[in-house]
Amino acid sequence: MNAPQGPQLLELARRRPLSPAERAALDAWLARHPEARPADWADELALTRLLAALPPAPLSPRFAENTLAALDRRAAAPAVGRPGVWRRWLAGWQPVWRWAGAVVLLAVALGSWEFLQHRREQARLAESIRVVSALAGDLPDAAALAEFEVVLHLPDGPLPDLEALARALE
Amino acid sequence: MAEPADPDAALMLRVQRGDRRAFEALMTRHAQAVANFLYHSLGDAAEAEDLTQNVFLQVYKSAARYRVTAKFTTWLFTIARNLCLNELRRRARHPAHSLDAPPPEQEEAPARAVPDTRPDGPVDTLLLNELEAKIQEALSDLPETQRTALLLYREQDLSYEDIATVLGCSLTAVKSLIHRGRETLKQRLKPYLRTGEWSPADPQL
Repeated sequence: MNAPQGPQLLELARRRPLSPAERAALDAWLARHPEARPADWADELALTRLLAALPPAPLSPRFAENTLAALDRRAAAPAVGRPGVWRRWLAGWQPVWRWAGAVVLLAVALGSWEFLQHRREQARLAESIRVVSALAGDLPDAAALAEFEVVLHLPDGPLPDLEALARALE
Repeated sequence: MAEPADPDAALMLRVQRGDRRAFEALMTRHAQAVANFLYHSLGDAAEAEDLTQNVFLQVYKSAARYRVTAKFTTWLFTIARNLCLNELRRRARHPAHSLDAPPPEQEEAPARAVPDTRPDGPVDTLLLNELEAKIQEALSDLPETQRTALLLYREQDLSYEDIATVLGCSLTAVKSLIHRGRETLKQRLKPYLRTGEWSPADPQL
């Protein structure tokens, strides 16, 4: 692999302190390209060193051992709250297949619901016809309904006294 | 199936088959980097170790979901960042004072005495501890995305693209986050950058 060139070294100097050889190469490159030297270059380098010198996290020497023990404890714990067999099986699927499966399941569920609704509607209609058929004998003759609109639009209020009306007509 | 060229991916394939030695090898390779990230994000060593353990338990639990096409460290740090965010949210919901916290009269002292193995005198050690505390404080005050971008940027293994994947943002956004984070740190730590208080331990400065 080629050694990093000027711009890469500039970039690298912000990421980690440079080795003496890298530093010398960068200084030489900056001497040839003074326009590329950042205004606060000394601060940039100092900040990189400060960040790189931050102490590492103190980690127990038994970290791996403790983690494996925690893994065993979890495995031995009752299955409450742990993913079931089907979830682990599902986890092995590619996300795209999981989405496809979810879409198919949704389509099947919607189709089934639609079908059941249709069946329920048919059953309700059949029941209505049966009830109407049973009542058909009590219904008035169709001719009696000929003046239905007129009767419907009669004004509200007390009905006329038919006897008084008959006497008046006499 | 051919073993992938990336050693981490090869180890993960073995973990998927339930190989605990491979899992142990992954921990050996990456636990320190994850712990560093969490330690400098949270500023608490004990919490960082607990969370690091949770990160690896999550890795083992989710091994079946890992695809070789994804870079392992990107996947690992995404899990670490998510757990870290959960912890920060939990802290925001339930702010609590640690029983281990120093009494108010000692608040100026570093939050935690990090064991120092450097062969410096007590004065140098004090200076270093103070400086470390100042840097940690400045880091903690950064917005989470800037801090995460900067801490991941320290990881030699992670490219800008990897950091963008972990943060779920664009490459340009990552560069901008790192730039802004560094600018803020330079302002906050200016006295230390200028006076060279780090110089006893770091003759380069």
